[in-house]
Parts: sequence; C-alpha cells; structure tokens
Amino acid sequence: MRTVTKTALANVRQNKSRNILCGIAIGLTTLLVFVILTLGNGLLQLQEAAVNVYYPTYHVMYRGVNEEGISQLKAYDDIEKIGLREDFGQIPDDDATILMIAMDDKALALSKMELKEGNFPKEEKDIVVSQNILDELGLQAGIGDEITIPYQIYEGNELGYQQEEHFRICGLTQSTESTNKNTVYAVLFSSEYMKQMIPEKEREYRVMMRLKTAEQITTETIEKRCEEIGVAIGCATPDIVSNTQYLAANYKDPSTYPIIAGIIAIVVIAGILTIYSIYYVSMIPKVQEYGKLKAMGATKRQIRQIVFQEGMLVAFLAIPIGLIVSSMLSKVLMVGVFHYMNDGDAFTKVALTLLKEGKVQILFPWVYLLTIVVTLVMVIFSIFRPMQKAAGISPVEAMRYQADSTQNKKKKRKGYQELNLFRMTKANLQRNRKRTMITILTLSATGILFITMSHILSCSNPVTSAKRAIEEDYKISIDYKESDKMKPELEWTNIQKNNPMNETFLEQLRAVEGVESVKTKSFLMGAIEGITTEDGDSGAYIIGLDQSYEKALQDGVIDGKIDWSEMEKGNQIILADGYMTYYFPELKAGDVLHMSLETGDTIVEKDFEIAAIGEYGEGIASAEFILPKDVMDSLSSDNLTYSCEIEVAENQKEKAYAELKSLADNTGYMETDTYEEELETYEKTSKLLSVMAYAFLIVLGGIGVMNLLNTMVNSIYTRKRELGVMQAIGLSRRQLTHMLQLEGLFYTAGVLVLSLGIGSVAGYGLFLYAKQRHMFDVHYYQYPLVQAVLLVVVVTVIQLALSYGITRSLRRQSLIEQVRYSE
Amino acid sequence: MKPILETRDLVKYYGQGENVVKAIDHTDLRIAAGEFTAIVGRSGSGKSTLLHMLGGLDRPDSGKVLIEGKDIFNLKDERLAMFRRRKIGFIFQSYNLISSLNVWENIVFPIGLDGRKVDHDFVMDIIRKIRMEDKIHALPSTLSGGQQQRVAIARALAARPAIILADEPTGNLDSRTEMEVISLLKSCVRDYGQTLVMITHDETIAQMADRVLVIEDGKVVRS
Repeated sequence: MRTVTKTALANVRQNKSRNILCGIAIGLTTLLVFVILTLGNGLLQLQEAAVNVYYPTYHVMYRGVNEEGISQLKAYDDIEKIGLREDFGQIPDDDATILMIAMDDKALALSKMELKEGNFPKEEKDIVVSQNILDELGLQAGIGDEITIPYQIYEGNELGYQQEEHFRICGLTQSTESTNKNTVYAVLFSSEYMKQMIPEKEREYRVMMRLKTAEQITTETIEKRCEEIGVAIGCATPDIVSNTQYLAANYKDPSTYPIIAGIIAIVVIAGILTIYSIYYVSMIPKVQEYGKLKAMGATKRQIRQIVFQEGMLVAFLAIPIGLIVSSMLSKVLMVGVFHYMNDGDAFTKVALTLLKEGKVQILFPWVYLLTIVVTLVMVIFSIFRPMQKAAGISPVEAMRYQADSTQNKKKKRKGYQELNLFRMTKANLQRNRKRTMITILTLSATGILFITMSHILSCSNPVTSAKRAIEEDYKISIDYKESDKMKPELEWTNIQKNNPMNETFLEQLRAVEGVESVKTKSFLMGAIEGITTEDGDSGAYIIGLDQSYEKALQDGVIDGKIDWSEMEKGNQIILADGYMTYYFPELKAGDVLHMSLETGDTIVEKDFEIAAIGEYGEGIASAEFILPKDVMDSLSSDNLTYSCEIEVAENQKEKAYAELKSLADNTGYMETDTYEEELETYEKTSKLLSVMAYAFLIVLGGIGVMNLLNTMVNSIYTRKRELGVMQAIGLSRRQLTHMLQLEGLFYTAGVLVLSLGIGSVAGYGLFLYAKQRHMFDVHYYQYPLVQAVLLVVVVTVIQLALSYGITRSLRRQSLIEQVRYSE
Repeated sequence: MKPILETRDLVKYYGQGENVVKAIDHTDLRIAAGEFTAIVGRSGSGKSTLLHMLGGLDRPDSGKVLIEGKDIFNLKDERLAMFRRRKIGFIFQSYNLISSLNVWENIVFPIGLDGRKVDHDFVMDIIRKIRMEDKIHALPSTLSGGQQQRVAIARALAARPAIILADEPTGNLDSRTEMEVISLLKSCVRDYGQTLVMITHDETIAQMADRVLVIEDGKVVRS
C-alpha cells in the first residue's frame, strides 16, 4: 500500500469520533436522498402499475370500423395491440337494454374483462352472462347449464326478427349494482357465433387500440396520434373515443420531478454544510499533525490526498450502510404512505395489494447509482476546503500552532477590569467570531427549514380548507359531463332543457327533516372572445349568486368595487381570483369581455364589464365569473339552477344526509358532497403532508444534531488543556459546568433566534407565494406556534443533554491529564 | 517554626503489578512559611507528582497533605477548588495563559473566579514589578516566552496566596531570561511574604533557594 493511503487509513482510526460523526451524517444524507428518489419514483411506478391493473388499457376506441379499416390499422408500426368487439344484436327486454357482443382475445385483455366464475366462450354456443341478466330475463341457471334465449340480430341500423336458440353458460361476470333505469347489459358470445351470424362485409367493429411506447410520451401526444390514425382509416370524429379515465390516471405530473430535485438539493446542501462544518471544526487540532508531515517532506499534493482519502474511506463505509438501511425502509414507507392515503377506493386498494405482493418494482439500479453519485459529489465538495487548508499549512507555523492562537489575528483586547464567568464565556466566544458565526449558521439551517415548512403545514388548515370548499353542510350539484361523446344527454345545455333541479325537487329537499335552509346557484358556460389559450378561445364559467352573497363578495374584493344595484342591470361581472387571473394576469377591473354563452339550443352573445376582481373560496364561487342570479336566469328561458347549498341541523345530520342523498341519486344526474367528507379529505392530505414533512425534517434534524455535537465536543477538547489550567488555578467544577453551559446557551440562543427569525420571515414569504400560486391550499396566515415552541424545547433539551454529557466525560479525566494534554 | 505545608506518609502509585511506578513513596516533608524550597530530581523521579499533590490537583493513594494544619484532601472537590484559588498560586513550565484573555484579565482571573473585588493598586504594583505596564491589553499570543511567564507569575501572585507552586517555570526560557524570571519571582515572594516551592533541575537555580529537596524514586533522599 502506498504511504499516503496508509496514512489516510491511520487517520481514519485516529480521528475515530470525527469520522463516526461524519459517517453518520453521510449515511443519513444517503438515506434521505435514496428514500426521496425511491418514494417519488415508486409512487409514479405504482400508480402506473395500478392503473394498468385497474383500468382498461386501450388508448382509444374506434367505432364502426369495417374489415378493410382493420387491415389498414394492422399496417401501422406504432400500434401495439388492437382488440375487436362486435355488437351484433340485442336480447329483447322491457326494462333494460341487453346487448349481444363478441370480443376477440386481445379485446378481452385490453378491456380488462374479468370473470367471476368459469371461462370465456370456447365453443360456438358458449355465452358469458351476469346474474343481473339472468334475473332480468327471469332465468335460474348456473355454469354449464343450457338456457334458451330470444334475440334479434342487427340488420344495418335496425333490429331483425326475433329468434330463439339454446346456449351454454360458460362463465359469469360480476353483477353490477345500478339504480339507473336505463341500464345496459351485455352478453358475451363467441366470435365464431358472431361471424356465423354476420357476414364479413356487414361487420362494424369497435376497435380498441393501444399505441406502442406510450409510457414515454405525453397524454396529449397519445390523443393526437390516436385521432390521426382514426381519421386516416375513415372514422368520423364522434366515433373516435379516447379512454379518458385510463389516460387521465396515467397522466404523469411533470412538476413532480422538479419538486423531488428541489428536496434533494436541500438535503445535499444541509449535508454539505454539516460535513464541511465537521471537517472544519476538527481540522484545528490536526493542524500540527499535517505540519509535521510537511516538515518530514510530504508535498501539498500528498497532504491533499491524505485528507481526501480519509474522507473517501469514511464515505465508502457510510454509503453502503445508508443504502442497505434505506432499501429496507423504502418499502415500509411506501406501504405506509398508501395505507395513509387509503380511503377505501378500489384504486388505492389495488395499488396497496400490488405493493404488498411485491408486484411492483420499487428499488431501481439507477436510484442506487444516482444516490451514490450525489452523495460522493457532496462529500468531495465538503472536504475540498479542508483539503486546501491542510495542504496550505506552513510547517513552521504548524509546529508552533496552539489551539486557536493562529486563528486570532487580533493583537489586543480591550477586556474588562473585573472578570466573572459570564465575561469569561463572552471572551471565549469572541476569540473567533467568524467560526462562532459559521457554526451557528450551519446549526440553524435545519431550524430555519423546519420553521419555514411548518408555516405551510400550519396555514393549510383542514377546517379552513373544508369551509372554503363547501358553503353549508350539504351540497347537491348537477353532474354534467361535457367531454363524454357517448353520452350527449349529460351535457349541461341538454340538462338545462329538462333540469331535474326544479322547484318540485327543491320542495322535496326542504321537506327533509333537519334541513334548515336551501340556497340555489345558477351556472352557465361559454367562451370569451379574444382571450385565447392554445386550444382556442378561453372558456367562460359563470356562477349566478343571489343578493344574500353580496357581503361575502364585497369582503373578497381585491380590485375594483361591487355595486349590487349596478350589477343587477346586467352589464357587469365579477372575476374570481384563480385560474383566469393566473393565466391572464393582464385582466383588471374595468375591462370589457365579450362572451358567447351556451343556453339550451342557442348561444347568447353579451359584453360584460369586470366590476371587480375578488378572492373567493370554492364553496362560494366554483367558477371563474360571478353574476347576480337574476341576471343569469334572465339570459335563458330554461332552468339554469346548478347547485343547492343545504344547511342541516347539527343533531339530525346523519338521517337528513341519507334522505338528501337518495333524493339526489334518484334523479341520476346529480352528485352530492358534505362538509364532513371535505374535511376528511383535507385532513387526510394534510396529515400525510405533515407526516412526510416532519419525517424528512427529523432526519435532517439528526444531521443538525451531529453537527452540534461535533461543534461542542471539539470546542471543548481543543481547549482541554486551557480548561485544565483554569481549574488548577481555582475554577471549580461547578463553575466549569456553568461556563460550558453558558457557552452552549449562547449557541442555543443564536440558533433559535436565527431559526425563528429567518424561518418566520421565509415562512411568511412562502405563504404569500403559495397563496398567490394556489399551492398547498393555503388561504389564511397562521403562525406555527406549536412547532416554534417544539423547536425551542427540543433544541434546548439537546443542548443541555450535550453540555451535561461532555462535562461528565471531562470529569472522568484527572486535572493533571488535562493540563498535560498536548504538551 | 510551624510548617505551612506538610505531607504525612504520602503515597501515589501509577500502574499495577510488574509495571507499578512509585511516583511518591511514603514521603514526609515540612516546609516553613516564607521559605523558598527547590525540589530537584531526575526526570521521572516523581517531583511533578509531588508538586501536584501539594497543590491539590491530584489525590494521593494514601497519606495527607496539610496546609496550615488542615488536611486538604478532606475537602470536597468544590471546596478544594476554592481553597486552591485562595491559598495557592501555580506557575507552569508552559505558561498556560488563557489565549482569549488579555494580560490584565489573565492576571485577575483567579480573583474573578473567587467573586472578590480586584485590588487595582496591588495588581498594578505587581504588573509594574514584572514590567508589563505597557502591555496590559495585549493578548498572550503576541508576547514572548519570557513575557508570558512573567504574566503567569503575576497571575499566581495576584490573589495573594500563601503558597506559590512553580513547576520548572524557566524550562522553556533562555538562560538570560531564566535568571531574570527567577530573580523576579524570588523578590516578589519576599516582598509579599509568600512561600515558594519550585521544581527545577538547574543546579544554579537550586543554589538560590533557601532549601533544596532531592527526590529519587518517589522519596526525599536529601533535604
């Protein structure tokens, strides 16, 4: 082994306590970097895996494609799979629509068709039914039984004559619970049977198609490409239907990556500060050592090498340990996070099962590699200065070097006429102001981060958020769907024409026991001319509120002013601070917007002047624009009522909620929401957010404590002899303890002042930023008092414990040993 | 004359079994008030250990150290520290000034620890004696070895202790400075009526003492 390496190895052994501290700091940083990367990446992977298990995996469905179209499709290189489904007839029934369908294997796989029992059709006369269908047809049968069913085959756009035939039940699908009257069921027949019944040129398939390498491209690109192909094979636009649920669930939020990168950057900076500080502080007693090496002929390069190799040796021990611990921790954490998020919905359950059964890969080689690279770079970065310092020492200076004396460039000190312990301590801290300040600053880094992050957690109060999200206790709103091309009856303009939220319905609501008041809001949408986004004119979503909201609206005004009577004239509108003001910051009070609003079958064109811009919660205004309800209602002859805000007596909630829900569900067009549900959702997210944030801060705090420990230990051990001398000339043990505690107290006070001071300012800044950007759901400022007190207590306790431990260890040595130390 | 400092059957061994080092081996000695005693002996003879025992820096295995007739090792650590700062002034070979304090502060440090008021005239008197009046605000790192040791002497004297214990105070100094420091020390002790016990292995210095104790293997062989 080379001499340099030998010396480095010997140094590792000699500076055991420093290297252990460094090792822990490096290990903790490794752990944080790894866990953050793994969790971030793992959540994305798991989401994707669960989406693939849970949702049908085709990207698009083309309807009405003939055999020629299919052979065209097969020529595309970028198509991974196509599955064919043919709807070829119906089974006559009074209440429900029962379709006869046939699907090939690929279609079965792509549509995630699953059987409760049995197999998919193998023989020509095999069928798959559900219990619902059997009930509907009044049949009692099970797997293997032959049943006779009537049917009508499609002939062009019509149904042919009714026929009857025997079929064997080969499989059962899960029955679905549905209260809807117009239920559609499907019986699955074999492809052979379908082919026999429908001549080749008359077949019109529904083609389920999945593109290749869709993981790497954006949702928008997938949709665009699917449409291109569809158009090319001659599909009309309404017949090209995206699998929106699957695409949306698979949508990867590109903002995840910068967030993860940001968190890692913070961890790495904290790590660098800590390791640097540990090296910097423990370099002082080593100076003489390096001086001796130089005197013996070591070159600058060799000394740099020694320090570098010492650091690397520690890193090579600490990083693998960090990786092993974090590998084990990662899965536990992932399961924990999903357990936390588990609100009983099927999707989370699927994800959790996948995770527990180990079907999703969580640990990736690239994460290991990246963690190692990041941590090594961090170590190299932090020992760079100490390396230069050690190499720059002149041997003569080093040999004469006594702890701290060369650091002190001052020649004189004004001092005090009379001395006491306090002044003594002060003199001690002043001897190297720069070092004292650096130490306090690095120690404060974690504290500042803690207080800053606590601001967000304290400001995003679930109760406040829930109260903003829903106005009263219960809310019923129209569940319209604009994008579902298969269900045009659910479009808002169509619902308006025969709006189920009519006076009769409202009367029914008011009649429910416990309901104290029912308020309604109207809704309209359209487009704004001249305000354009990538997709054309920006949408205009307007909510109509009655005069009882006047005060709330006035209170939220940030620009312009609201004169209700002026507004009732119908030419003014209120703009809610949010989406529109974010994307079109140039909008201000006084601007005139030309809107075309979709009412029933006609489009109403109208100019509105922005009277005011205001800041309103989702509960009051769930749209970007607000009009007086009367003005809105006058724009259409149809019923524009969109939602009801219902106040329910506290003690009758349970029963009233159930009745309200059943009233809403009966219409088939409404969705419901309660204050309690909102609160639960917000509590869950805020709890998860805080658990993650605090776990992160605790590990970061651990690094901070290493730093504190190192500083304290070193500041005492480098002065060991001096402290011994002080005792020899009469400093009692109690006075010594006192002095060290005073010193510690100064550091504590410094750390707390900086953490609370800078942390609070930064936290308030972050609050303003988050509020403006509508992040983390923060709206009102609330100082994180509990967290601040917690920080004070924890830092003080740690400091006291450290002082106590160090003085105890100092006591174990006799005075003689201390005085002789380093002599 | 009544001894101010006395040891009775004092024993201090280091190590165990074969490797035992008898640093102090049943030593009895008596030092009278106002006396200047030099302790001489080879390196490792136990003279430093003896001095540390006399000053209460280390506890013996057995035996007693009496100062003004009082057994100092009967005192608890806390009381012992107080006793030390009132009765004893230490001077070390390597000066051991406190680097963060200036000359004045170093000198008044033991007085401050005792919570007493500083007698300015007295301290200034000492400072004039050590000829450091123009360096009151200087920090130790800017002083020469001789100057530092003079400050250490002043520190030992300032609290007006009855006894000054000096462990080779001139070991790090050149011979001219050495004589200067010893003369200063001697004259101060005489002026303030203090007792001086000094370790040295310099024969010339030993000659200046009232009495010379020779230590060998932990025992006083000649006095």
